[in-house]
Amino acid sequence: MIEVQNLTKRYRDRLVVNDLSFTVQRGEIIGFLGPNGAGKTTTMRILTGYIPATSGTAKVAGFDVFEQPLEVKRRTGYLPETPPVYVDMTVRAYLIFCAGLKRLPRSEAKREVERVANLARVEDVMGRVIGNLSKGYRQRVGLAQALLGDPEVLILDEPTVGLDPLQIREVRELVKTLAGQHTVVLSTHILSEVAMTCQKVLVIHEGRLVDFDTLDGLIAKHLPGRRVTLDDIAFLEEIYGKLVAPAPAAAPSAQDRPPASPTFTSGAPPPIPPHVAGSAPEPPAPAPSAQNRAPASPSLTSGAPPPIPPHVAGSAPEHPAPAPSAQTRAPASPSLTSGAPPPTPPSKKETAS
Amino acid sequence: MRSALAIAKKELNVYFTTPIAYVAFMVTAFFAAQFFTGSVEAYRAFASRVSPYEAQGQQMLEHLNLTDVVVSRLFASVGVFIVITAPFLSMRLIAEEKRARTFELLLTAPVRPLEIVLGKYVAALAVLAVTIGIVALFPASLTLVARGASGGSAIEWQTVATGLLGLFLLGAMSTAIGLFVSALTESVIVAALVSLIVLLGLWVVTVFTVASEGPMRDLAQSVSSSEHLMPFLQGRIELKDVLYYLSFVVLGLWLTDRAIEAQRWA
Repeated sequence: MIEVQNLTKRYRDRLVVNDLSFTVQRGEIIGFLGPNGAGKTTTMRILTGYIPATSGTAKVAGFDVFEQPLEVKRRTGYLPETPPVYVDMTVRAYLIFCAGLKRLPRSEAKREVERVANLARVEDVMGRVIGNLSKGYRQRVGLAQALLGDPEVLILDEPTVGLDPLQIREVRELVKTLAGQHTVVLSTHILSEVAMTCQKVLVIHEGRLVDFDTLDGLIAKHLPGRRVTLDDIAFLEEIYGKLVAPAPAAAPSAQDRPPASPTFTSGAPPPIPPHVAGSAPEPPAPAPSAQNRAPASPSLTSGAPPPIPPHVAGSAPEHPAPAPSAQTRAPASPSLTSGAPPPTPPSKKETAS
Repeated sequence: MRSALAIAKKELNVYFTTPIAYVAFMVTAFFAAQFFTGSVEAYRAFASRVSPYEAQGQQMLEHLNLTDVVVSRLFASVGVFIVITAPFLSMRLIAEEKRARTFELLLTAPVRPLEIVLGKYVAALAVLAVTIGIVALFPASLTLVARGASGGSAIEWQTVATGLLGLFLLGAMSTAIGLFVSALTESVIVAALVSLIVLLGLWVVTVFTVASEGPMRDLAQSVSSSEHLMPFLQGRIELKDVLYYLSFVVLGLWLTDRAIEAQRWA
């Protein structure tokens, strides 16, 4: 539905979008991720025909954005970064104007305006002047405008900015219902939104495509051996951090981890993640020591996978004795595993569970 | 064209829900009324001073008529208010869209830039036409109280009509120039001031060459918007004057279209 090839946009000597290529299938919901200034908005503007690309091609619904812009625009609904509303107009007048702009037949326009007003939940402010509405309502009016005419492709630039948590959930539900018949590209900074609504994630950084994959694919690629549920956004934060980390402080840790985790998983993948076992019996004192031992145990036993992690057996609350011995063994273990840090910090695991 | 009409309708909606159109009407009506009563008073004073019993006075009275003395003078004075009003009608047309980031909506809708330009232009022109219509009420009011020497209408409607046409063409030119300036900036104030300077410059350009002779003076007269209005006020429609105004209209709209397109490539 959307085909982008070698797209490049240059503002004088500033390269904003750099050789971007990706394809979006019909009916997919794509989350567009990237730090501020990564080129998300510019890419979306090119896709909607607002600005031309310096080089490369973009096709939407089979039409080249540059060669046949009107055909593309007829099939695209677009919510820009700033909701494009006229502060002097009422919501109803604004939506009717947009219906006229999109050449909806006059007879259908009224019904269509009512439909999108219901979808975007602005039906109770239809008679009010947009200038007097809150940011959240303006955003939803802008969203209603994008939905007018039921376009095949929806391009939403940060659709949930300025909304309260309940409204965010409503918009999320709305976007989910659009999946299937509509192709949606939405950019956002809110990772939970991506995790909950999008099938695929496209991460760009400094104008370049860093990764484009399904959520499962991203997890398999960047957090191998990690079991996550989609309610959990910590993993996405971690992946995102790995992909777009610009600071030198974050870079080595991201490079360190991949070598560390294979030795962990190849050596001995524990059938039960250590923290899951540790959190079950809730022993007050032995818990930290047990967690310290857990990563070390595979290397100590030289790759033999213990069917049950040792601390489960020793973590009965009425045995305080094993705890100190475990703690004395714990500091020694990292040196045996040649300085490999524990695959993930314990605090992350606690939140992940 | 349906999109252009939608844009024109929306612009008219904005003109009449905000004070802009009403202020334009009020300013024009107020000053037109001052000029009109002044002209009528001058006419009355002059007519009462000339004695109809002298041969010279009789000759003068034969040539004295309301159309030439009152209406044409009124229209000539209104011309400058058209020039002043038009920039305030055109200033926000595109500049405000750019500032409010609503231009993105228009340019990503299935609409050609030329349709946007035409829609906005037509709306501004409609408001200007109403303004000129208000001015036309003054000569019309003369027919209520005066009668022609031979029992006909007190004023020559043909001359009034050509005068109104001239004013409309002047307004069309001013709006087209204002629209172009509005497309160049994000600031409404800058758009208004720059187009006002350009239009007033064209209006009074002959003043700069009063002392000079020959080609400079001819040039000034041929680019002056006030010089080209005069024949209309005297009841003549000349091709060169119509062409003068229409070429400014076409040039202004074409440049606006180009300016919108050019900014997307910046």
